[in-house]
Amino acid sequence: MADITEIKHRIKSIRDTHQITKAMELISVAKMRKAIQKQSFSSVYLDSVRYTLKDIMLHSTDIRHKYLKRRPGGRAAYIVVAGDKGLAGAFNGNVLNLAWKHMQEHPVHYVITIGQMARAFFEARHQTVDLEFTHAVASPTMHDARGITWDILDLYDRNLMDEVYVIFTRMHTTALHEPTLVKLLPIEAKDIEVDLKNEYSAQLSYDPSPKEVLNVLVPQYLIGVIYSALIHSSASEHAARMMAMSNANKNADKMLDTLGLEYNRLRQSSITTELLDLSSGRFFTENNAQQKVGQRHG
Amino acid sequence: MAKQGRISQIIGPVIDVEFDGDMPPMNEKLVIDGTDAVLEVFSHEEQGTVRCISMTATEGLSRGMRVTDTGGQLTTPVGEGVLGRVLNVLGEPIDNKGEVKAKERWNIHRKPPAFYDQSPSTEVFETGIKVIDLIAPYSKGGKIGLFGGAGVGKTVLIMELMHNISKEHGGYSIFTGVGERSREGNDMISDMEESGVISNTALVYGQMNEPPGSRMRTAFTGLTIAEYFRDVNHQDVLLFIDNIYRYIQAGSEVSALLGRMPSAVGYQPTLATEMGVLQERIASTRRGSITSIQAVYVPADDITDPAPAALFSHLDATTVLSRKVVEMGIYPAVDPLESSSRILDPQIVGREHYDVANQVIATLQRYKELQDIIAILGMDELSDEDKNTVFRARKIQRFMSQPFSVSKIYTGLEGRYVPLQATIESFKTILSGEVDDLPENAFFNVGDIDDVKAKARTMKAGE
Repeated sequence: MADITEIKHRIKSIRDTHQITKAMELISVAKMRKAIQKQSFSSVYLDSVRYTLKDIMLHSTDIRHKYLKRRPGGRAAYIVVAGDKGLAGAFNGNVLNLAWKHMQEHPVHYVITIGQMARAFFEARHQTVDLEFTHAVASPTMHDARGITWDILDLYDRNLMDEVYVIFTRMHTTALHEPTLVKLLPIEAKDIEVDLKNEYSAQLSYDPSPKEVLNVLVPQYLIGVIYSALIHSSASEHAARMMAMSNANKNADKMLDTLGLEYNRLRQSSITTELLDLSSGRFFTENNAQQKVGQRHG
Repeated sequence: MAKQGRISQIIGPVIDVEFDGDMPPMNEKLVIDGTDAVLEVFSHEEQGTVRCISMTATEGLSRGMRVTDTGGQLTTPVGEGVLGRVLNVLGEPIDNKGEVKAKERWNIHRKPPAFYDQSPSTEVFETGIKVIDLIAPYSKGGKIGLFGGAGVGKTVLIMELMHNISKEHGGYSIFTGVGERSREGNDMISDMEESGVISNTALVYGQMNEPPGSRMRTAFTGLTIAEYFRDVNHQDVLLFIDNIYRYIQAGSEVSALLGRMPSAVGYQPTLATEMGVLQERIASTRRGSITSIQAVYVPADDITDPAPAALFSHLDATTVLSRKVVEMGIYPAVDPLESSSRILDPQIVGREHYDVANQVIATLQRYKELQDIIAILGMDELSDEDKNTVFRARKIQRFMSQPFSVSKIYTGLEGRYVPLQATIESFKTILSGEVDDLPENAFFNVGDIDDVKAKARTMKAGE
């Protein structure tokens, strides 16, 4: 409705929001750059771990490892990686909904959350969270990844679960990130996402033995997958937040424009009305006085 | 021998008449000899001059014409004889059906009922229109205002109310058309003749083709007919006025010509008095009641304009039609957050109705508050609870639309009368979340909640 104070109030509140979203956009840009850099550094190392692991698994016979063995039972554990904060568009919602969908397919499951938004999501749906990690996603470190991995392996070793999945948001480009589900345990060659395309003519030999190398590699691989999930998620979150905030800024600008126009129009019309009232009142009193004078003399 | 005078000045609809000796008293009816022109005395000026307002067009009149004092005020025929007839401000038939057979004629200027005779209204008056019955219920014997800017559907709503009420409640109704389109008046008469309700209805018209004098007095003529049924027959009657703003507007057209200084936004300085004189008479007594439904035009969609503002305090229930709702394609375009009723009170409407209505309002209010956030940050940032609120509010908004019997030819949908209890149950079901899974469109232009479910099924089958 045409209420000038209400519009003024709205303009102020939108301007305040705008200030916050503008600052958040700038911060997100910086944080996203850092995260992307970290990711590209780590991926070099992780790729070579993956490559070697897969190579051994495919080409060496007679390898045994407790983390390679399939377990019957189908008790699944989900490690769900989301953000610690909202205001990142559909980022949290997308990854959490994917996790939720998968959980419905496995009646018996454990939920391990990384990030506060993930925990809040499951709590709101009355889903017990078995293990939670917070503050690991804002700026993930190897130390965080190691800690998380040891904790999960401990549970796995105690035979509480048969399969472990990681659900996180994979970042392809700044504008494209998709929620992804990766099987962490047991390790199977087909789940290791690396191409053995440059097939060597000769077989690689491992020293002292492929088995020894494998024993070293497996934990490194697991830590690497967790770390990469954290890093991808963190980069995606910052990118998503940057986009969400840039949209918010655009929307706020547009709203401020229309409201400003409406405010000016209302202000001007109230000025015009008042002027009109004043001048018509004056015109009337002057005219009346003249008439009275005229009547007295005439 | 009646007093005679002559025209001394003509300023549009305002005519000065000079009398030698005694002047006719205020509100006296004068006629100009040799013409059909009728005047009403409005003020006494100096030297035997009375300033009058013409009830008829003033073309062809000239200074010096003889004017005769009729010795009485404007009158209108009252009683059963006016039912089924169409009158003008002077109580003359304008439907080409011959003389009005009425035993009595009453002056159109009357005193309001005394304070101790008046009875406050505390009974709900069902209209069959969901949003009105739930959010701003009308009371029997109450005064109701329908506020709305140009083209938001005031006249359609008032016609639907007449249709529903005459069908469901019976009784006499009086329709007064003030300063609106003549075409609408015509449509209404032929509609009523078709449905047969005209035999219980009296119509008084002073539409926008009439001079301001006529538009200022038409409401009084209609009201006088209603008062007769209330005071003499002790009946409960319905009085529809479309549009009360035109009454004020007519007053403002002549105000400056009568020598009054214009007040805020150019209105007459006597705005509140003029409104009070009319509204105080529209009252219910212990013996009979007048339930009045008045359409109010809101200039430039500004409800704080002095004319609608002057009316607010007189009303028991206000139904505000808003352009924002029209833009969503929802008819009737009632703005549930602006509309209100004095009788929305658990003591009168009952605890269940009161609670449901308040929850509906709270849901819509929350949605309105969230709209800025949604516009800036998007739906994804809302909590699950707020998302639910938003989805339910959107369903409630759509559910407030309703197909009308009188607009069947435009929408192609059969009109729906929804009983109050069904309305309350339906809104309760939406609030409970029971129908959260149905698509929003199923809530659009339907009757009660069973219709929603049926429509959702057909929509699903159609996919």
